[in-house]
Amino acid sequence: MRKEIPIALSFLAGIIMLIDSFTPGNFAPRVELSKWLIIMSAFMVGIASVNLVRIHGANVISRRKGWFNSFSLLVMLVAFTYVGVMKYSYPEVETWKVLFQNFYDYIMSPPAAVMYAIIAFYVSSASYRAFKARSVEATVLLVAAVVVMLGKAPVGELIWSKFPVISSWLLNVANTTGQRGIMIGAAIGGFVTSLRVLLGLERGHLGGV
Amino acid sequence: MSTDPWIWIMGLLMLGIFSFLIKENPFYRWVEHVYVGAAAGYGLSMGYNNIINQAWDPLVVQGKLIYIIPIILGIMAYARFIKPISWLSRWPMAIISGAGAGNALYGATNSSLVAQVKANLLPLNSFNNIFMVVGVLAVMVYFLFSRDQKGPVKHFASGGRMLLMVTFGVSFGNVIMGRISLLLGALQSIFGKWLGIISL
Repeated sequence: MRKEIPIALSFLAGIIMLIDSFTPGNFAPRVELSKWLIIMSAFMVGIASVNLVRIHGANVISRRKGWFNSFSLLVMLVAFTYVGVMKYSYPEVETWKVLFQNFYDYIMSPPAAVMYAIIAFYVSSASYRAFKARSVEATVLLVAAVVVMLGKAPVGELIWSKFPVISSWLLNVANTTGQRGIMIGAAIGGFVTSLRVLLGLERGHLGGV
Repeated sequence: MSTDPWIWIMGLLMLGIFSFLIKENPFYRWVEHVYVGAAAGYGLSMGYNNIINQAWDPLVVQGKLIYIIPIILGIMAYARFIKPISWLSRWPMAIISGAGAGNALYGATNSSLVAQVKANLLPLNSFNNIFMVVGVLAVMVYFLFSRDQKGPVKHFASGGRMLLMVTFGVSFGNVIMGRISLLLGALQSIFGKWLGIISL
């Protein structure tokens, strides 16, 4: 039962989705299942938070190294959740809306943006080491990257007027061709994996039962 | 310089993440933890909103008893924390992954496989069209691992590999440009909104 029921549920859910694709209009069980998926996913988000509370709560209680960081994480988690719950529970109260938006705009978004931004430095330094033109393939990659960057930056056009044209061709023709080949390959792989999940041959997501 | 406390919080948090460029330090680690807490809190708030709107209101307000099932399934996911009944958490996971697989079987195949193959059936009347048709074939041949690539097939596959290198180079260039844009936005926030050194 521990093995068969999850496989049967996977199959049933997959078949409902699949039938919808081949029926005109909205297939009622699929509409219902989509709502169920949102609800179940919402509960799943809580699992991650429970894990965070367990790990960081233990850090704080046993005063491990860096416990203050864990404490700050928990405070932030509780504060943001509380403000969010109040915002959605009392939509007519403007204070909660403003506070939630400020939490999002000034506490959550800026560090995320900077984290993505500083990757530029690390990608550049990593590429300096990785892109040394040691082979023809590496050279082609390096040249394509440099031409695209020069084509997009205003200074590229000042150096050579053809840079934007070549960059545009690389983006629209060469890149599309390569991406298309990758997409077709990945789609075939995705099709096979999906079929394996539906037929119960792929069970890694169920804890390898 | 801004006098808004929210702007100061924003500036200090951004500075904390930027400080990682020097080396990993306690300030960075603290900001990192605050960010993770905020992101988890945001996710929980959204989850709460979804549960209330999609499950609780239909169940309690509209009396749709069927919504008890996804609620129970959602709660079953937490069984993973109780060892004797941890296997129960597989049920909601099975439904979610099965639905995803069923969706991908048609949706992703249709948009990624069929649509891309159709888009590549081009009239061979220009250099670009010939390049795209032959290029996609070459990339596909490069991905053909089920038999040895010898003779002309090997050369064709090498062409595909070269095209893939161009694709990766273009993607890399795009990523760098995107990150630089983000960096400029972050610097504008620090030097403009917070410190008021530059005008926005």
